[in-house]
Amino acid sequence: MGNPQTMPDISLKVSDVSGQKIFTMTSAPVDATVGELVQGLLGQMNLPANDSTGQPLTYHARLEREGRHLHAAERIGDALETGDQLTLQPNIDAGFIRPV
Amino acid sequence: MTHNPYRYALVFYTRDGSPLDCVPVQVDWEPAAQWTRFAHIRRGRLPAVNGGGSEWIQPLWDRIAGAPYLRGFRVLIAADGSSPVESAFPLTYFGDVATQVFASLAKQRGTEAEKNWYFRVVAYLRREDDERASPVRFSGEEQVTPLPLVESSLADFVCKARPAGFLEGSDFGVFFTPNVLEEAAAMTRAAEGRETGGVLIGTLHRDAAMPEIFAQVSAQIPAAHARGDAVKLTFTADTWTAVNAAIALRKRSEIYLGYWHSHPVREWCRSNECSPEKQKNCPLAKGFFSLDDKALLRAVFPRAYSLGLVVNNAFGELTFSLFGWRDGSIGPRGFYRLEPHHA
Repeated sequence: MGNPQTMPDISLKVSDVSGQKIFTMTSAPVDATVGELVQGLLGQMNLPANDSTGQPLTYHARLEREGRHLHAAERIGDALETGDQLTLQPNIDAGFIRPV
Repeated sequence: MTHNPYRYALVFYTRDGSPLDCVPVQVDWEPAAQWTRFAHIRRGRLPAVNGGGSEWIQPLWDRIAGAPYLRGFRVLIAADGSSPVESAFPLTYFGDVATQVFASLAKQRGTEAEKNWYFRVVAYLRREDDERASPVRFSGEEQVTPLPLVESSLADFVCKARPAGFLEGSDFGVFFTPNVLEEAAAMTRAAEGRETGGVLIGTLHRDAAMPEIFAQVSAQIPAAHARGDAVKLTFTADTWTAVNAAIALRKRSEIYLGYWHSHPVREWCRSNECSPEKQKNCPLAKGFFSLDDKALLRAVFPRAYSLGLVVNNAFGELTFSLFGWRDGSIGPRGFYRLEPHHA
């Protein structure tokens, strides 16, 4: 593995659950974590960060090349390769009206 | 790319006009932008693509009070090769965020007087130092992808379908194949007192002669790996992975069109020990879309053609209520059931 300080950033494609919204990142920093990447992209992709009560939603990043969900703590430089495709998938509830 | 040079706030008043508070708000413009884009794609004024072009959010000033008070706002979209298009939105668009701020203010003040409050929306140009931008570590660009459309005749679909629910003239047509509703009903009955659900998939059609776009919901994929109880159904990351696998296996070029879930009204009434008379007139049996239901549609299905189907398990036959986007907000809408021999 190369020196992380000299490794170039990598390019990625990130999509929402439906695959109908696809973002191309040309330079994802290799020293960032997957969790930081997900949080950083939510705003740009106009994906809501919180549920209806204001609690943060949990988004999992699925790496299509390996068919697994990445851990938030994994480093981009360790887990991903240039050209990888990620899908952001939330845990989210449908349900009865909650008391406010 | 979205351009929004204003910051927005809600100004609250009591009924006698006394100012209560001014609360800055972060407004979710995405539904309005998606609605504008889809409305103009339907009419052939924008190319049938996801993404691309630039969007502007602009306040519409109150005609009497003037700036900074709004009477609404508009979204303008300029896409390559097309004339700019726009849609206007009323102040009701701010209803959901106002409701949340209302509740928070009432809680702070320890009062239930919020029923006697009203609000106005104001907008101010952002100052240069308003955007204290943190270093942008993750920047990307939305890829322009074609909206997959099948050329069809809307009239052909209408004449082989029965309407259900209230059909609003401006809504785009939605046609359910019979198996979708039958399977959702069977799963609802089997789940009894628990919520269950799935993902709606199908095809978008274009009638170029009109022009118009309509949807055919051809299948429902049960929400595997979802956790359901009497009042909640959690769609997990594994649920979405399973749906993608099912779509790939079907090989029919179907797309995500929305989701469905059940409301076990009978169980709610039973656990609340409602009297038979109360059960007969239970308003929950008529079909509703909760804040959580709306939040799920927004998070996973923000495209303006997306749908939320509720199967009401109340007293008597199961009923179906469909919800969808209209003017950037989610509300009830009608649909068509395709006849079995025509599906």
